[in-house]
Amino acid sequence: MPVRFIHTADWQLAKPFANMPPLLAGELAAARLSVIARIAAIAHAEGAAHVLVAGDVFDSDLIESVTIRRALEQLRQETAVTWVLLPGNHDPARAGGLWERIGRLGVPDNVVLLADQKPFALSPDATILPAPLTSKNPGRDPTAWMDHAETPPGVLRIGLAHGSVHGFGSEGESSVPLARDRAAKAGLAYLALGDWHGAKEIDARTWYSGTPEPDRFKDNDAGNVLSVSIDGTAPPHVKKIASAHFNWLHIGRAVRSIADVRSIDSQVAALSDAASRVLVDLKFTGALTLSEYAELETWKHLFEGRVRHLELDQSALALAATREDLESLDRVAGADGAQNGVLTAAATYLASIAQDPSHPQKEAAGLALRRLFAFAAEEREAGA
Amino acid sequence: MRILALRLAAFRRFGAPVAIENFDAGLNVLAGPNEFGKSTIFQALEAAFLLRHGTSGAILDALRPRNGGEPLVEVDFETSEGRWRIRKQFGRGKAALLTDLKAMKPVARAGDAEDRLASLTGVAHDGPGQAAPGRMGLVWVRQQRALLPPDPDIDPVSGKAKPRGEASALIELLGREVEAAAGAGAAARINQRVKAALGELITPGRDGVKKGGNYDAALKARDEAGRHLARARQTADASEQRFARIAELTVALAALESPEARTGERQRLAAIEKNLTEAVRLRSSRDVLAAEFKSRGLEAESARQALDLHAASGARRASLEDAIAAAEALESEIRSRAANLNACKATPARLQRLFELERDAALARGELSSRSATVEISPMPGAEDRITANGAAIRMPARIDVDGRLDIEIAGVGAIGVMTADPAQAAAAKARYQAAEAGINACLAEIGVSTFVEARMRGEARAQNAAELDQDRARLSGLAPKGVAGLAQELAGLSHSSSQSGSGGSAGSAGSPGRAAELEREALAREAAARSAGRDYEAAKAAAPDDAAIRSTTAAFEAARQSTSRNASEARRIAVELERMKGEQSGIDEDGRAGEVPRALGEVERAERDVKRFEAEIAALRLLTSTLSEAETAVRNRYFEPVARALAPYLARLFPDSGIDFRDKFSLEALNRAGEREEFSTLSDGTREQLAVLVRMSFARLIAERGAPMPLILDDPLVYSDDARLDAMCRALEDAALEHQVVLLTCREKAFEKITGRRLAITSWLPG
Repeated sequence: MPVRFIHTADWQLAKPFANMPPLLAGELAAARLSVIARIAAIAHAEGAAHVLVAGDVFDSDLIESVTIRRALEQLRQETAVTWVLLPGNHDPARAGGLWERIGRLGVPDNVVLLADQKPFALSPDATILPAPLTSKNPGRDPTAWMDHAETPPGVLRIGLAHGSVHGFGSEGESSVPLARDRAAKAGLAYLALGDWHGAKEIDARTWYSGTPEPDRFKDNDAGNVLSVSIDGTAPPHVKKIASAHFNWLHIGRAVRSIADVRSIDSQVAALSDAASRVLVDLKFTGALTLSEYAELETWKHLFEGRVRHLELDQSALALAATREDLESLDRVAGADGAQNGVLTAAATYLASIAQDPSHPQKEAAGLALRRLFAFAAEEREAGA
Repeated sequence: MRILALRLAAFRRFGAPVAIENFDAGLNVLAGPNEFGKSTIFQALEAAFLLRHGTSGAILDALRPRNGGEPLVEVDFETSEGRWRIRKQFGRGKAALLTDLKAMKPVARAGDAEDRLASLTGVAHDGPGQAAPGRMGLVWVRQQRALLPPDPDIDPVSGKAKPRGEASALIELLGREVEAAAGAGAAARINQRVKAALGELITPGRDGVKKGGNYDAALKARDEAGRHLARARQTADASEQRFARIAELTVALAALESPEARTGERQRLAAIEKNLTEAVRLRSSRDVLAAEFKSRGLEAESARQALDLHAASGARRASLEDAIAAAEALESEIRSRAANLNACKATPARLQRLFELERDAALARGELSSRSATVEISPMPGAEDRITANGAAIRMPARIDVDGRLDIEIAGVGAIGVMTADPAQAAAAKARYQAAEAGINACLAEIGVSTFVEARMRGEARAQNAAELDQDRARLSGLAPKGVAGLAQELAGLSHSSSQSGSGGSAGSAGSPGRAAELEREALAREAAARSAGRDYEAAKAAAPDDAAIRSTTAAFEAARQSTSRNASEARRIAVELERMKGEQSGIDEDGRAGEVPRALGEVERAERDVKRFEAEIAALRLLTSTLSEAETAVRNRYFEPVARALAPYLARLFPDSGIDFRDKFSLEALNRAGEREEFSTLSDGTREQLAVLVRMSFARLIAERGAPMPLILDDPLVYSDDARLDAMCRALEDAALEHQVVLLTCREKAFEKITGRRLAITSWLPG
C-alpha cells in the first residue's frame, strides 16, 4: 500500500500585498486563505490523508491573532485531512513566538505542528523527519540531523524542510542552506522542501512544491501542489496539480505598431473566463508613433477592464514621432498646410529630446510630447 | 485714407458750427491753448467714423454741448476708391449720410451709410454702439493714450476676443507674419491647459505644492506611509529585541534549572565545605600544639631556674663567711687605730695652736729685730779679753743685737753705749717673743716632742691614722651594713632557706652537689620535652592553612553558598521576566502590530510610486509649458519684426543705435541703448512718451506700407519732452508725413513752432 500525501509550502498567509490597490490586496489575501480548501479538495481527489506544508505557512510570525484563528479554523473544517505544518524562515518557531501562540490559541485535532527536530510518525509506514526553523537565519543546515535520526526499521523516512538547496541556481527567499544530497545521505524516501515559490524537482526524491497561490509576477511555475505517492523503495511518483486562484502573468512584448499591442488581446482571450482572475505585468519595448501612443492609451483603458489588474511599464517603449505627427498639431489652429507653427516647433523640440538616449530629460520629454498630443486633441474637440 | 475736411456743430466745446477745411495730405498741425477744443475735434473725427448715429444714453450725452443741441459731424475724406463725405446727426433727428463727392450724390443712408463707411475705412461695426476702432485705434491716439498698448480686444460681455479690435487689427495687419506663426493662438490655449494641469499639482510659482491637489495628497500619503513604516519598524524592532531577550532568558533559565547544573552546584559546595572543615581542624590542632609547646617551655625554664638558684645560694654562703671574717678583722684594726689616735696628742687643734704660736714668735722676733740695732764687734788679736759688752767679754768677732742698751767696754779704751730708738717697744716685742717661745715650748711638751718638725710629723701621722680609720670604717660599713651581726644573721637565714628549697626531697644542704645534679637532670629532661613539643608545633603550623588561606576558603564557601541561593532567585526572577515578556509580546501579537512592516513597506512603495508618477508628470508638464512658451516667444518675435523694422528710422532720429523689445500685445518692454537694456518702466516719463509715440508712428507707417494708409492723429502728445527731443520728434513726424497724413493736435504752440506742416484753421460753418 503506497504512502500518499500532498506536498505544499509557502502559503504565506496574511501577506499584505500593500503595494497593490487596497481592494485587490484584499482579494489576493483572501485567495491565499481559500487555498486551504482547494488543497483539501485536491487531497481528497488524490486519496491523500495528509498535507505536508514545508514551511512559511504564515507570511510573518508577527501577524495578528485573528488571522491565525481564521487559518486554524479553515484547517479544522477540512476534517478529512491531517495538516502537518513546519515553521519556515517567515514564521520561525521562536521562543514565545508564533508557534507557541498557535499552541495557546488551540491546535485543531487534525493539525500537527512540527516545531522540534523530532521524528513524527505519519503512519505506521512513514515517519516525518522535520527540520523546523527556529530563527529567520539559523546559519546552519537544519536537515543535518536527519542523517543520524533513528526511525523504526522498514518505515519510510520523509524529510520536511525549508531553505535553499546548495547549487540550485535560483536561490530561494531565505538564507538557510540545505545540502543538495540530503535525501541520499539521510536515506530519505522523499524530501519535501519549501522556500522556492515555483515547483521544482531537485532530484527524484527532492522537490520544491512552490507556493500554491502565486504572489508575484515570476515565470517559475508557481501555483501548484505536489501529489506524492511512494511505494516501497521505488522512486516516488510526484504529480504537479494546479491550485491557484489568480494567474500572475508577465508579458514582455516588443512592439512596432499598435497591431502588435492588440495581439495581446488574443493571448488574454485564450484564457477565456479566467481572464478576470489574471494579473498582468506588461512591459513594452520597441517604439510607437505619437498617434499610436494615443491609441495605446485607449487600448490600455479597454484592456484594464478585461483583466483583474494591469501593471503597464512602457518606460522602455520609444516614441517615434513622425513628421506627419508633429505637423498635424498645428492644424488644430485651423491654419491648414502651415509650416513651422508653435506647436510643431514645440513638439519637434520635445521629440528631439525624447529620442536622445543621453538627454537627462528624455523621459520627461517623451511624456511631455504625449501630453501635448492629448491636450491638442482636447483642444480640437473643444473647438469642434 | 486721408481727411480732407471736418465740420461739426453742437459738439461738446463747439456749440456753434465750425469747420477745418484746409487738411493737407502731409503734416497738419492744430495748435491752441487748453480748452481750445482740440480733443473735441479728435472726438468728432472718432464719432464720424466709429460711432453709430443711433447712439444714445451716456455716450450721446457726452457729445452734447453744455448749452444744448444735437451733435452734428461731417467729414470729407479720400480713399483709394474715391472722395467721400460722411455726415452724422446724433440725438434727435439722428441720421447718417454717405456721399460720393466726385459724383456729388448720396450713396447710402443711416445703417447702410455706416456699413459702407466701415468697409471703406476697414472699421467694423459689430454692435449697436461704438464700432471697434481697428486700425484707426492703432494710429488715432487720444490724449494720454499713447502709453497704452493696443486694446486687449476682449469683449467684456462675452469674454471673447473682438474680431476687429485694435490688437486684432494689428494681427491682421501683420497677416503674413501671423500666418507664419500659425497655431500661436492654439498653442497659447494649449499652454493654458498645460498650466492649468500643472496648477492642479503645484502652485503657479512652480515651487510649492498645490494644497489639496493630487500631488499634495500623494506626498502626504507618502509621508504618512513613511511614518507608519517608522512606527511599524519601531514596534517590530521592539518585538525582535523582545524575542531575542526571550530566547536569551529561555536559555539562561534552562541552564539554571538543568539537573546537571544543580548537581554540579551541590558538589562544588560540598567540596568547598570539606576543605573548610579540614582547614579548621588543622588550625585547631596547631593551636593545641602551640599551647603544649608553651607549657613545656615554661616547665623547662622553671627547672633551669631551680638549678641556677641552687648554685647561687652556695656562693652566697661562702661570701658571707668571708665577709664576716673580713669585718671582724676590720673591727679589730679600727679599734687599734682608734686607740692610737686617742693616744696621739698632736691633735689638729694643738698643732694649730703650735702654728699660731710659731707665727706670733716670728712676728715678735721680726719686730724686735726691726727695733734693735746690730753691733758687730771684732776684737783684734790680743784684745780678746779686753772688750766686754754689757759686761760679757767679747773674745771673738761677734754680732750683737741691741734692743735697748748696750754697754760696751773696752778695756783700756773706754765704754761705748749703744742705744736703740724706742727701747720700750722693743722691750714689748721681746716680751711677746719670749711669751710665744714659752707657749711653743709648752705645746711641744704637751705633744711630747721637742721640735716643731717633730710635732708636725707627729700631727701628719695622726691625720694619716685618722684617714685610714675612716676608710676602715667605710669598708666595714660596705661589707656589713648591718654590722657583723647582720651578716651572721643572713648567713644563718641562708642556711635555713637552703635546707627548705630543692625538689625530689633529695637530702643535702643548700648548694650540695647531689642536689645540683638532680636539678640538672630534671632541667635537661624538661628542655628536651619542650624541644619535642616545639617540633610538633612547627609541623602543625606548617600543615595548618594561614589566615589568608582560611579567609579565602571561607569566602569561597560563602560565595558558593550565595551563588546557589542567587541562582535559585535568579531562576525565579528569569521565570517571572520571561512570563512578563511573553505576555507583552502576546498582547502585541494579538493585533499583529509588530507585523505591520511588510504592509507599511508596501504602502510606502505604492505611495512612492504615486509620488514618482506625479513628479514625472510635473517634470513633463513643466518641460511642455516652457517649451510652448519659448516657441510662442519665438513666433511673437517674428511678428514683432515688421513693427520693429518700421520703427527703426524714427527711433534712429531720437536714439541712434538702439532697439526696442516688445512685450505681448505690443506694449513696450525695454529700450536697448548702446548695448544696455533698460526696462521701459525705469525710463523717464519723457522717454517713455517719445517711445510710445514712435511705436504709433511705426504702426501708421506699417499700415501705409501694407495697402490703405490711415492718418496718424495725435492728441496732445509729447507733453514731457525737452526741446532737443521735441525737435527730433518733429523731424520724425515730418518724415512720417512723407508716408501718410499726420494730424497733430497740440496745446504747445511754441514748442511745435518749427515743425513744417499745414497749420489748420478753424473757420465758421453753415451746415447745409
